[in-house]
Amino acid sequence: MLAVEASGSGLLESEVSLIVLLAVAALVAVAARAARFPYTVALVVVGLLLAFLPEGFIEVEVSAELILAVLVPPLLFEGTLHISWRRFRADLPAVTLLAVGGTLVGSFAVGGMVHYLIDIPWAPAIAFGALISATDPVAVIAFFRSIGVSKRLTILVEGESLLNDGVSFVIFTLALGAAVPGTSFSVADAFGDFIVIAFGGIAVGVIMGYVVSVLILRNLDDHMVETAVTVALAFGSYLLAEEFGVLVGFPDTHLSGILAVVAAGLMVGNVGLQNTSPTTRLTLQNFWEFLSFVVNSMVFLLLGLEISITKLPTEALAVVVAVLAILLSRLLVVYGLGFLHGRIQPERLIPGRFKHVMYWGGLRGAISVGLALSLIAHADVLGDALVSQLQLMTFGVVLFTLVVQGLTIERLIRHLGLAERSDAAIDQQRTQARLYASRAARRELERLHREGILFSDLWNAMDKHYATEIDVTRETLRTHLQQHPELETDMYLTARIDALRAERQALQDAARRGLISEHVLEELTLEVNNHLAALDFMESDAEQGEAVATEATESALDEPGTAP
Amino acid sequence: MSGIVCALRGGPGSYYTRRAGLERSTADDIPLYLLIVIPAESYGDLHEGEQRAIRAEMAWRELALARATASQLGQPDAQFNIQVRIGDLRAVVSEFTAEVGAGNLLLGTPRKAADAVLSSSEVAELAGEFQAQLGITVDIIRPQAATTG
Repeated sequence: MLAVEASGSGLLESEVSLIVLLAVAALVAVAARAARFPYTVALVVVGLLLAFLPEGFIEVEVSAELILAVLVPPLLFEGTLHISWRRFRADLPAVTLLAVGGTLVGSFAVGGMVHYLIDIPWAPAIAFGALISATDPVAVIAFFRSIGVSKRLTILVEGESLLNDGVSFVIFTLALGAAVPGTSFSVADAFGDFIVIAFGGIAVGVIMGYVVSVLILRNLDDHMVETAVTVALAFGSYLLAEEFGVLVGFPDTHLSGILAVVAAGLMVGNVGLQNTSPTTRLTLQNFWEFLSFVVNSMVFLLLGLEISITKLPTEALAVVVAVLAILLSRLLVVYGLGFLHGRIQPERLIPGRFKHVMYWGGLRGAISVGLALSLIAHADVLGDALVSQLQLMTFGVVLFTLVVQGLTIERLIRHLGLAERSDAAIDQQRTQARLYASRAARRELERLHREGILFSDLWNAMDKHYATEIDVTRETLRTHLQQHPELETDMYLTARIDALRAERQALQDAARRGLISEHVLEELTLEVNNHLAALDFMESDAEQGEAVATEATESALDEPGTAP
Repeated sequence: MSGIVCALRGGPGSYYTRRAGLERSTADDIPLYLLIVIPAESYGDLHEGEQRAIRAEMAWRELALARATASQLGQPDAQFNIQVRIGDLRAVVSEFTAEVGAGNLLLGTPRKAADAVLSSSEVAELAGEFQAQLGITVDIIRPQAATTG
């Protein structure tokens, strides 16, 4: 029997389960890649199939705590690590409107529809609306990365999702609180609670993220310890926010753990990583990428296992209503609030094609399932039948969005012409990668020869082979760039970023060797960081293509402009 | 003709406009001004250090890409002047073109960016406005024309 238990008992069984699930995930990953099938969707499908195995063969106990407190924090943390605050800030009005306003609209729109159409009482209906309004960007972002879409679209989708997870959780909690008989519900109180929970969570994350980024990552130069500290931060910020009330003597007060993790991740990604060595950055990125892969695999496999597909027909009407409700409410959110945003921030309009992707890419996943599973704790108030119905509706919606929307979103992105990574750009990358690899191989052979490991005649022959290969590849690259000269701009940006990072590393080395003072290091590092931020600005500016400016301020530049 | 102004965004699509400017400038031996316009609203809320870095990086990138293009055209010693200015596109281009007394303005077409605000027809409209306002020749450079030319 395989069992995954959050309680910690049955350690050996849990270990065996973990190993089996990881092995299944690895096989699915290989098969999905070979079949060019979306990995996350494949995991859910395999999970659904595994549930048909004889009873007792795989016995999974997935709790809300396992998903929300163990699996979700690392996913959120990794998701925020690579988000540029500068880009995020530029679209913060849109992201906030979609995440806060959108989740409120979604909660009430979906809640209203399921209340009127399938007679679910108001409070649990709103709670369902809230839990199902949390979008999960994992599957969509995977497509974005593989086919290359505008970074702005990625920020909009990821940003909305990261923030609306927290907002959904808060509305869900407030709605369930209102479901308790004898509880008087006041909009003003709910709004006050919302502000405390949301901003309290953000404050916890910002403070913890700042402490780790400035006090630890800056002053420590040990990539292993620094990585361990970020792990503690991801889980610690979640727990501290959730249990904040206990610590300060108000056990009923909870802050948003999800928003705390998001804020902490943004701090580390934008402040902490600037203060670390390249080795630490590489270790951190690799570690979090790996952890994200493992946790994502677990989440989607467990989703498949948890969705009782055989029970779904018993609530077929409710599931259909729920699916229609989320599709309709998403229309209101994306296009309605998108229109409103256009009035608020006309200089950063969200293009129509982006809205189509944001609408159809609003998949639901781990947060929705985690919150639905947590409903069991409210069975005494809601009743077992309603809890079961809401859970099945959630599973139905998650399954629909992952399979139907998840399998068609790539086609939509391509159809809308949003796949920016052209074949020419991919060819360029491929040729450059070959050149890079051949040169590394040639250097390695030279080292082996220099150290007396490789016999001279043999080295000469092998070196000549690589030299020819490098010449051919260089010629291919030259021809390719002549045919696609516009690719030079991307090549320039990549090289310039690399060069600036090398400058920063050289400064840190100089400081370590005592050649420059801490003060000079800080001053010059800030200068290099400003130039890196400038390149990020230029990249997003070129993407944005905002050729119409609304303000007419002018500032001439006296740069040396004449070529020699 | 007293000079050529290339109004550039600095993105991949600018290659063709820059190249056309270099070709005309070297062929007729007239000054070339590569003008990069940064929209004020996306720039204003940055601190001074970042603003300075952006202006410098914009100028450096243009210098590197223009030198590379000049070399590709067999004119490695081509002369050009780079200006980075912040503000409204229409106002900046008009003022700068008048300031240097240019007789020819080159505009690029927006690359197929999903979120480009100006469509091809809007660029044509803008070109008409400049032509009427400044009384100079305004050309829209399209990628295919530049590669074949």
